[in-house]
Amino acid sequence: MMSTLYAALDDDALLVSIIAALPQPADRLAAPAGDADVSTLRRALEDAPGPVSAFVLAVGLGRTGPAVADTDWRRQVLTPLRRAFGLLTGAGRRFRREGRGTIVVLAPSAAVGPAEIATPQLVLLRSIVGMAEALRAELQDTMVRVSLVFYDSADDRHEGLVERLAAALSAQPMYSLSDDITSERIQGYFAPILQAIDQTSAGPPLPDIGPMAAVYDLAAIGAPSS
Amino acid sequence: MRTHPVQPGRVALVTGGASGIGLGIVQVLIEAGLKVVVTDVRADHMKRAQQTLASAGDRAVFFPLDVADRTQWSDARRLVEERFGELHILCLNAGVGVLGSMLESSDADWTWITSVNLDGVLLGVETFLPHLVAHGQPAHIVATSSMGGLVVANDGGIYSTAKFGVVALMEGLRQDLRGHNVGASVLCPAAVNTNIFDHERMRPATFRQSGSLRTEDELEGMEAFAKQILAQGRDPIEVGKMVRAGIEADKAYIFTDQNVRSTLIRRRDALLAFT
Repeated sequence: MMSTLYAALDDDALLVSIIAALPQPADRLAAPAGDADVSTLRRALEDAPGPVSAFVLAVGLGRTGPAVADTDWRRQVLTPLRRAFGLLTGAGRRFRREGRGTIVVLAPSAAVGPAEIATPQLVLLRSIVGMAEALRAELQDTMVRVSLVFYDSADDRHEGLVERLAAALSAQPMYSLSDDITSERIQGYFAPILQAIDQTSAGPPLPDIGPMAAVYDLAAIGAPSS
Repeated sequence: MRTHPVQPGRVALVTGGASGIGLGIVQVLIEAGLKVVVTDVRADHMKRAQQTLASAGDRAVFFPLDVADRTQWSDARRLVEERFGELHILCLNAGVGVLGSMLESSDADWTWITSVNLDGVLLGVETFLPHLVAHGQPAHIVATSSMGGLVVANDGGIYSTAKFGVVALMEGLRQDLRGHNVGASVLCPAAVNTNIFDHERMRPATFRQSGSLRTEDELEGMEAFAKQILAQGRDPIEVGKMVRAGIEADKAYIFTDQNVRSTLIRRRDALLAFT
């Protein structure tokens, strides 16, 4: 029987219990802890025994740390980021080799923006969003899909999250949003950025440099209306 | 209203300041009467920049800096404090524009790209933010991200991971520093006429083991393609002027053109499709 493997970046017990409640069996990946390098982390996934259909990376919100000036960036951002990269690319390599698979990143809604959490945590979460989107883009021409499932950062009940996670594992959408990620919030984050772009002179147009936007194509993201 | 630090006699430090966008920023700030510490890891670029900036005399100070090296950052801070007392503008511009497959990447690829593009920015903030806040005078931090810090492509995963982080860092800092003397902006360039196309060739020996090694012919082809595109891009001095205007107006985001607009809208609409 195919199984789901999972790993948690920061051992968030609640997220682990969400994964354990999935209808399909989910096993914790035996991954080296601490400061492992990318290739060691990849091997843990690539060599994990048994048929595996999906990998879930659970990313907790983390604790509010000290002021930015006193942040230990290596411990709080760079090490967990490398860990996420090793695990996600390990899953991507394994599933690409096997011809299909599903990768889900379970992340707090605070990652989307605007900035409302401690800056070090925001840096980590947003970097992971970029990583997950880029991995989906790189695997776009394969049968491997990467989904970002967001949960409400401010609500630790996580109602309906098990069902959304299960749905993402099955339908492989690009995103699954928690209720706090409203259209107003999304517009509110992007509006000042687009306004800043509009205030800039157009500049010389870039020639076609490849499928820059293909991953965001509405026909390919698996949205309910697409 | 917070006054800005682009004033004659103030002091700036620019990483990756000896070529491309960094040099453009340096030239504009020197023109505005500031003293600038020009830092760069590349000796060849530093030598050329010294010639280009010769007329600035002692208002341009050159300091070799590998942004991924914490000790060198401490040395840079010591130089600033001993020579000038205070720093007012910090431009965290150094970066490597290296693309390639995430899945084929090596430990060296990951470490090199993130150590320069993300850790290099974090170390700059760690080194100088306490100094900027402590002196209380108008100050500003600008970090260079990329259009790849807002949208992704299918062959630049490590680059985008780091650049998404830089955008988030500056958005977070801007919130954290509200009401303080220090402003924060993020620069997201698109097409700028720089030497970003030859960054693969400046890969240090320690990180030579790349997972996406290319033949010399492939490398030359890619460089020629990128060079041709970038030659049509903004002049770095124009970008320097945009950065100056962004600091003066305390803008959160600074763009060099509108090339990212349509892709960013597609990303926004992709998210909206799930609400």
